[in-house]
Amino acid sequence: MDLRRVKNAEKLVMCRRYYLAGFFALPFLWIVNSVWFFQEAFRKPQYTEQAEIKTYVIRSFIGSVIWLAIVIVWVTIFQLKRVDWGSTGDALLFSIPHGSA
Amino acid sequence: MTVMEFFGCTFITFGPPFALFLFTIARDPMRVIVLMASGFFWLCALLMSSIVWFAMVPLRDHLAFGVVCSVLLQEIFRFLFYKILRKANDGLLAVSQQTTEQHVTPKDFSNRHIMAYVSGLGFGVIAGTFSIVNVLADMSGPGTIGIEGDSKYFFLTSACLSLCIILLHMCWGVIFFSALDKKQWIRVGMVVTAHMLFACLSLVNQASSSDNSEVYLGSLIPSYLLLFGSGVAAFLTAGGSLVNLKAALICRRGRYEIE
Amino acid sequence: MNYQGVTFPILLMELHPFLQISSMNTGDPLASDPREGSPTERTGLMSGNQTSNTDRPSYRSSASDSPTMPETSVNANETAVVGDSNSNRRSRRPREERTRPDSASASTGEDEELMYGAKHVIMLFVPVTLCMMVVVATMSSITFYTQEQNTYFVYTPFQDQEAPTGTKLWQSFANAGIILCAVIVMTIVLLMLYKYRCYKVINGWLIVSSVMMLFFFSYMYLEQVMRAYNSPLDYITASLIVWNFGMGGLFCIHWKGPLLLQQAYLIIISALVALTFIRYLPDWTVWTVLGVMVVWDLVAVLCPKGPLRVLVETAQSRNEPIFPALIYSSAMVWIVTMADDGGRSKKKKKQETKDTDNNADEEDDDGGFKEHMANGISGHSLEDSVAARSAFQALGDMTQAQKDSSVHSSCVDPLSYYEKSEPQTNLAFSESNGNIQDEPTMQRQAVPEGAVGGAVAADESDVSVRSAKKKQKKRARPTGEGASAAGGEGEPSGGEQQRERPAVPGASDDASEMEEERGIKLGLGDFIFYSVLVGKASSNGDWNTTLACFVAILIGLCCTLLLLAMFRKALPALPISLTFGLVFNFATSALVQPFMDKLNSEQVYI
Repeated sequence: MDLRRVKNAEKLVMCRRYYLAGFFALPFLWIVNSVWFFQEAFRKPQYTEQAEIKTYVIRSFIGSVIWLAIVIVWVTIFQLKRVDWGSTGDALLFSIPHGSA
Repeated sequence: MTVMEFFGCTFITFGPPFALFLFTIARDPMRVIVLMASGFFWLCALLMSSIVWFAMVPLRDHLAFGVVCSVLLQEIFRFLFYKILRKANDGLLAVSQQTTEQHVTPKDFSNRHIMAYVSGLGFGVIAGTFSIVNVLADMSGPGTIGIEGDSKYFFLTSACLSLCIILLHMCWGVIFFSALDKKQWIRVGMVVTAHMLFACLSLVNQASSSDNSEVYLGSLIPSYLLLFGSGVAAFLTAGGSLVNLKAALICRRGRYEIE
Repeated sequence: MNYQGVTFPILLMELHPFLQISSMNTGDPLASDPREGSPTERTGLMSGNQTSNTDRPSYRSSASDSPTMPETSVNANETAVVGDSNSNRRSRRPREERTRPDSASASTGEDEELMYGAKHVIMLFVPVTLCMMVVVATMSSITFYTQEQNTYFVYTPFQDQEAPTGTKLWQSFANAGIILCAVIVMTIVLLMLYKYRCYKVINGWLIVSSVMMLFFFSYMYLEQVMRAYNSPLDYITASLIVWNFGMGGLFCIHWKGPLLLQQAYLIIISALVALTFIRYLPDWTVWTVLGVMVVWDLVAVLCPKGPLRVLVETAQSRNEPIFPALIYSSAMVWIVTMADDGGRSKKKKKQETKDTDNNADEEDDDGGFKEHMANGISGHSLEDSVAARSAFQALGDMTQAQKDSSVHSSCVDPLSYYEKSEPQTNLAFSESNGNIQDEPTMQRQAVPEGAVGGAVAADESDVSVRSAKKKQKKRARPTGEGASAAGGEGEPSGGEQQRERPAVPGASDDASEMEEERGIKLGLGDFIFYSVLVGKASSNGDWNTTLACFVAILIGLCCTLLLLAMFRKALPALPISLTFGLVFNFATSALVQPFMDKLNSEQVYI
């Protein structure tokens, strides 16, 4: 898709759908949304749908930052505490590392 | 350590060619294709020489024979590539000279040295890569060289010689093509001789061992002298002179482009 | 491999659809198999939801006069006009050819196209290279894909690794034969589904398979990567990654997404499929399959009744893209003409220029490679081009695309595809025939352009002006000369244009949008099989072989493109490349490798 060739109304629809879909634990879509529509939201001369797109973009951005933070915190905690958690930690392991010398 | 050595040697061998590629070739699709095609021709030459080497069962252990055959075959394929390129070029030249469009880059066709350079580099890159890539793969470890009595400079020398052959091919490409353009058979012969000289010089490396690393100097120094000579010859062939060298050193826009 | 036992049955089950799917579409990512044939997809393939553009289609339709595509159903009222214009065009063409030698401008066109062609070759090189790199990097760093194993596809019942060579040989052929049969059956099923317009089934199929690819294969891949790098990862993060990756892929591939992301997904999918093939096909069978695919590709695309060819033709006659989401497209340009109330006059003008452009374009189309076409042939080639344009966007078409170098994209827009209410109308082939004015579509698209118009319009006018400037230059000559030279043969193009214009009233009056997409498309099947070849070549640990295969495949691709430019019809992209690749693979590993090893270890340089 090239946004330059898409009508504004359609852009809005796309942006909104990406934004809504992001709520299903899909921060990736939010990231895409905020990057993809950034130009539209902030760099383009004004048009009617722009305000709405802007809110979606901003919210997507905030959402993705929050998600990113959560993931980073979780991964850090997990990596640090995994051994302490014992069998619970092991049960959570997706790939079990083998020991190294 | 092995990893460091790996990266060091990789950069020695591929640094300069990569820079050349980036600055002079990458942005021009036509040149990329010619580069690829010349690499393909070199591959064909290598295949032929391997067949010859393979077929000559008694001579398999005497690399000198295979090397001589290979050099000749490479030069033959360079000639073939020249023929093909010029055939395509003639048509293009006629067309592109009349053009006024900016984005056509008729330079490529009007200045014959450009394609010569590109195809030379293509030969060089593939030749150099073929001679170093498996060594590099081994270099990254595990294990290192020198335990079995080989010289510890093995990798470094390999990298330097590979770089040398890449650049040499580049120079030879320019000289060879322009010599053929002008029907100066002597210079064609010189290129072939220089190639032969380089290949035979590298035969010296066989004598190297852990106590005998100086042998490498015997091939490295002459090789780089040869490279310097070829470089100067190619520079002059392409219309360079001391004056434009000086001019080139003065900073100005677009100096990375081949004019 | 602890839970391999569990996974495997799933994989096998999954594979089934996967194979099928793949067989169906030409470019389908999943469909590794049949698709390769798909490389042939015609360039036109991707016209997302845009209406076909008036001029160009008419040209096509003229081509389509040929018996192959009687259906070229153009709207009835327009047909006549189209026909006329066609005849004009045709008649004009030879003329033009005649004049060409002396017309500098025309030759310029040729040259340009050559440059453009080169540029587009590179635009294919890059993704193919990336895909191969992913595969090779995986192969060399993750042992999972190279190690011996005992689990294989259900399609390959013969997998005796210990057998003597003779046995292995026939077994590999038997396996390849079975796979080929599966592919053929799938292709035919697909063809039938398509013929009888079971779009829902096809779409469901495609989506199911992409879901499988995106989630399941990426899950497996993630697992192997984590294992290879020995990093502990928890299920929560892993599932989040896979879920996001998969859904992102579904959005991008089957709906809308940034072009770059779409391309990335398609490349990744191809790489994953290629890896799966390498992993789960017995050693020898891979080679036989590659060989068989070459033949199949040739047959399916070039035979008059070849399934893929029929598929392509059917789709063209219906003015729809085949399975749009599943083809890699390097770039796409839409040329948009919008009518908004404000600038009607301007718009008209624009339209005109546009017409000119298109005409010129068409001329260019063939012009690009005129050298190769004798006068007589050109007519013929036109027809062919209608019949099918191949996977590589015809080089000639690119002019415009190039021009606004801002390559716009939009890969196929599955959305429109999915809005099945009017699948026919939505999808118009830009390539294929027809001054098709789909009123509904237009209206649908016509939406409130007014406000939006600003940016887009500016953009667009820019394009058209620029191109017009250039094109007109080009065009003037042939037309003028043509008139005198060709006398009664046909009207000068000017007249033609005028005639054509009335045919487009809907377009220029209604707010309308004409878009053309230009770009190179390569079926994902090609990506997959190229990568399989290179990946397999790299599995024996020799980088020289890998490199040789890589160069050989790219050169093969170049040759295919060259042929494409010459014949201008659908060509299979696999045969040349794979043949080169196979020859160089075996030659390198058998002959060159010992030689180079000796040279390397002795440090002798040649």
